[in-house]
Amino acid sequence: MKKANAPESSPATIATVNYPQRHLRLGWWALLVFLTLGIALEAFHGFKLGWYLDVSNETRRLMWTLAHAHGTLLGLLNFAFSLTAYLVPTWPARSRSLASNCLFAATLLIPGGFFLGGVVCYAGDPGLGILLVPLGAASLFVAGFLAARAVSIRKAR
Amino acid sequence: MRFEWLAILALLAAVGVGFGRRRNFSPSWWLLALFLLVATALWAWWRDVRRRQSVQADAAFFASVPREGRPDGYVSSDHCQACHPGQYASWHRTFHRTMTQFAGSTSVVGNFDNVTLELAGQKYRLERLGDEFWVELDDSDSVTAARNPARRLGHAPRVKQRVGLVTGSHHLQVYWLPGKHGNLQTVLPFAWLIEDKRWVPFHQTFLRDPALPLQPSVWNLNCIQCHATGGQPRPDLQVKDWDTRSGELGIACEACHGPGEKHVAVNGSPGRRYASHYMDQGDPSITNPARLPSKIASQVCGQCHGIKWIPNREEWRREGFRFRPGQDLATTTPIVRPTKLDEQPWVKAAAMQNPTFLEDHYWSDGMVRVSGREYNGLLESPCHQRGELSCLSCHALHQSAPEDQLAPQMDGNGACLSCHGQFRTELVAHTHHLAGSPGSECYNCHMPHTTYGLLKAIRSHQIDSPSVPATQKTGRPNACNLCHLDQTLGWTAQHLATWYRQPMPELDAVEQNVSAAVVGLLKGDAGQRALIAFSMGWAPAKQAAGTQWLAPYLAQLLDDPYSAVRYIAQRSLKRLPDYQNFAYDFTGSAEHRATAPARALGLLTKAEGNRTLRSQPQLFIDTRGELQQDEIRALRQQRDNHSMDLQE
Repeated sequence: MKKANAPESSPATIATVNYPQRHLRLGWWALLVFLTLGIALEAFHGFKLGWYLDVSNETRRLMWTLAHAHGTLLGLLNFAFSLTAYLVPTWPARSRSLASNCLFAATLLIPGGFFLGGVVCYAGDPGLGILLVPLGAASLFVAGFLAARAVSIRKAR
Repeated sequence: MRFEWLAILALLAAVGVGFGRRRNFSPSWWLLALFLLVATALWAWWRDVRRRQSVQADAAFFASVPREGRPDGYVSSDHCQACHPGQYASWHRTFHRTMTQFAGSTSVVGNFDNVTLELAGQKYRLERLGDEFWVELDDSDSVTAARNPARRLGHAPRVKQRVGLVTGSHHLQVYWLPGKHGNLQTVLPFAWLIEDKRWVPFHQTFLRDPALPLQPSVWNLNCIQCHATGGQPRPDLQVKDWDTRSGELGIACEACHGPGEKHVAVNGSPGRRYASHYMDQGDPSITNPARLPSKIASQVCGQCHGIKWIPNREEWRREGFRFRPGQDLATTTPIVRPTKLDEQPWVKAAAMQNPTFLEDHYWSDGMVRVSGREYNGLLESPCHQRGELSCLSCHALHQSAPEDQLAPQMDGNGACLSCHGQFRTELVAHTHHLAGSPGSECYNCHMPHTTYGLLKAIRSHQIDSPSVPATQKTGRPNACNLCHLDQTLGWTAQHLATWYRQPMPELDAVEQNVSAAVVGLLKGDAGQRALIAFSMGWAPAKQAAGTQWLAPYLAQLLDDPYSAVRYIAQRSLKRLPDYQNFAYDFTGSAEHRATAPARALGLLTKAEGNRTLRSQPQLFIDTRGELQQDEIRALRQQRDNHSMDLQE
């Protein structure tokens, strides 16, 4: 639990957060959730469920497949981030904190947006949940940029 | 493609050289590598040549058939699929889509496996080459084929033509061959009967007097009207060149929803799409028949399922129909209604030009009698005139099975009871038939099989009630006698008077004493004979009237002058016990047909053995169980032999 007068981005909090641990945990939970979703999707195929497989539900099938794929890959990406945070001690604290939060947001928003977009569909258009995906994509971009810069700085030194 | 292969060869060469230099290969290895490279290059070149030939052949083929794509906002169903996958899929499985297709392995159902067909002394050899279907025939334009004496003498050289288009995929399939005049398509004079899995002469698939001269069939003028979306014939009659095009072959999305270009353009914006989803007010950039008023919605179907009057044929040939879904059909292509002759003076003009025009399409009281014109029937129905009945009351184009395309729950009494709810609890009192029996099905009494088309009888779409005076006046069989085939018109009149207080009409001796179906079958015109023969194979009628007596009467029709009547009669006959394997070809020689009735009766005698027919005077079966042949012959001699050509 966060302390009320000590936001996570404050220098004191940054120093105490264990980023490798945080993303290792998030990665495994994301893998668990989205691999489970994958198993569920396979079961839908197995039982030939019309509300998932019918041509009229093509958008739902696409959205949930994307949720499964992105969620799983983001889980793996969290492992990579965990390793990077562990191997690059020179990564500036503020940048590392921002990157971590962005990846955290992306891990929730991208697959979550795809999933919600498939819950309610309008013919070829997904539901409004899909609006979360571009937010997540932007967060992921920021996280990726910060991580790449941090790794590059280390190499330059 | 060529660049792709060059790149692959260059890479292989680079790898080979690098590998060889490191390992210091012997000259024989180098030779082998060189050989492999040359062989690969030759193979790539050969493939490229084949591909070019294929592209050229495709280009030649598509230049010989009507083009898909036209101006005025048509974009084709390809543009609909991405946003409306469910609707696209439900349309894709309909017979509407396959009304006309390019000939190919997925569209052709006829047997082209080196089949030779013969008609009027001319031979047609059908063969398949991969995905292409070819016909070898005498070299002459198909249009003049039947009239060119040189062809009859067998002097014309033989040529091969690739089949361009196919029409139909449900009951029968017709094939079209490119001519020598642009993309004009003329008919292969044989059609494939899908259920029977056999070729038959094309002209014998119609209910048409065989003595009438054969008319050349041209897709670009006839079928294009309703078997393509947004068709434009575009002939240049001076140089006899055709540049026909359509929005899309077959009945596609834009036939019912109108041209989609604007709809596609404006809905590129996700904001507009989501506003449309959430407002649920429809999209003004496209027509949705389900949101139209019932009468305007029915006109969308009526543009094809009605007998249209084309006021300006020259303009139509140039531009196609001007009607677009959502508009008033009457302003561009009004429906011909013989019941409204005073309001449609041009019908009289048409009748003057073609004296049999009305007779070829309608019963004498104005009810349409040919298939595919259901909108004409709807227009004359009180439920439509005074109520809200529309095509979409019973039919659903997207939530239905391809056969009949009936909406859910509309294949039984639910269709009528949704408006006439009072009969839900009074069904037996109203119908005087057991609940659940065919006599308690609304369709069977109010939409009987009095329309002819596609070698069968089809339900009338003019909702009416059985009427003996109507039968007397028009010759149209009434619903009661189409089921109770063994009963007289007098029997029907008596029941209608007792049950529904209809006035008792005056009846002559035949109407009083002879089965109405037997009278229609022996005395009626070819159209009536076809309908009665169909009913003799219809399960509810056989259940109501028995089957023991049917064979001798159906046998009478095996030698009918009209091929369609013979076809329907043999089909009904073969549905009777003991006749499943009866050898008969409705297209056979005159001799084969002449002997068929006697052969069929012989089979009956053999099958009956000790059993005799039950005495039924109204069926000309005497107390000994024998047919009164003299009476039958006497009625048959009164047969209505006037020339018929039902324009289905």
